[in-house]
Amino acid sequence: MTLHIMSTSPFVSNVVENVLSRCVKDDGIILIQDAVYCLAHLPTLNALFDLHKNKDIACYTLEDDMTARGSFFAHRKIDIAPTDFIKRVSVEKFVTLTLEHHQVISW
Amino acid sequence: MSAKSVGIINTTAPYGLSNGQESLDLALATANFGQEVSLFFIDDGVFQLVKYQQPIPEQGKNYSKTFPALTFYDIDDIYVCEQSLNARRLVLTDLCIEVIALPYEELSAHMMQLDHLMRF
Repeated sequence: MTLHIMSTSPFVSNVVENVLSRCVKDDGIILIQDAVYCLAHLPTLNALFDLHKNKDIACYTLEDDMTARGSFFAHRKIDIAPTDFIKRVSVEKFVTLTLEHHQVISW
Repeated sequence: MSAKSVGIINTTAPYGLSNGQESLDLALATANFGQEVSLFFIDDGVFQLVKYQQPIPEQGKNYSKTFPALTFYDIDDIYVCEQSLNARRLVLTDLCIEVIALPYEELSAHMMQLDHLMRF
């Protein structure tokens, strides 16, 4: 039960893709900083959705990082894939998540 | 001093790095010294232009508010890579200023005509 903290844009590196391929059941994934752009990257969204469905992996994004990066997330409905399964959380909830998981890895 | 043409190429997303803020400072300073500045946004750089950015102070200043002022510095040649926009499912109306969207091959042709290029 590990919390994976992702912080890089899926458009410029394949870190997110690699980590997703190694996730195991009941892990958690939080997208922070430039990793919030995963919500605009269809292959990553699909991979996250599969993990959520098949391995009970909880997916989160940091609300403040989404808002900072503008309308694409805050004002436009993302209609390319289901995104409701990714929960938007506050920094306080992020701290709670790190305590709820056995290990935390920053990728 | 004869004016040189300078191209500033933005390739990184805002807030994760300070590249965007620094390239904008350079663009304004260069224009203030009477040089001809062209701006290019490619790859994740196109995210810098997205509307309604609202960082909290810890994430840095919302420098996207400065983009509409570029025209007052006579910086009107602002180019965006069409392929980069499409890959990120962005359209021109998602951006905070009017830009010229061109396929990458045409952007390269514009860059080749400039005296200096800098990448951020």
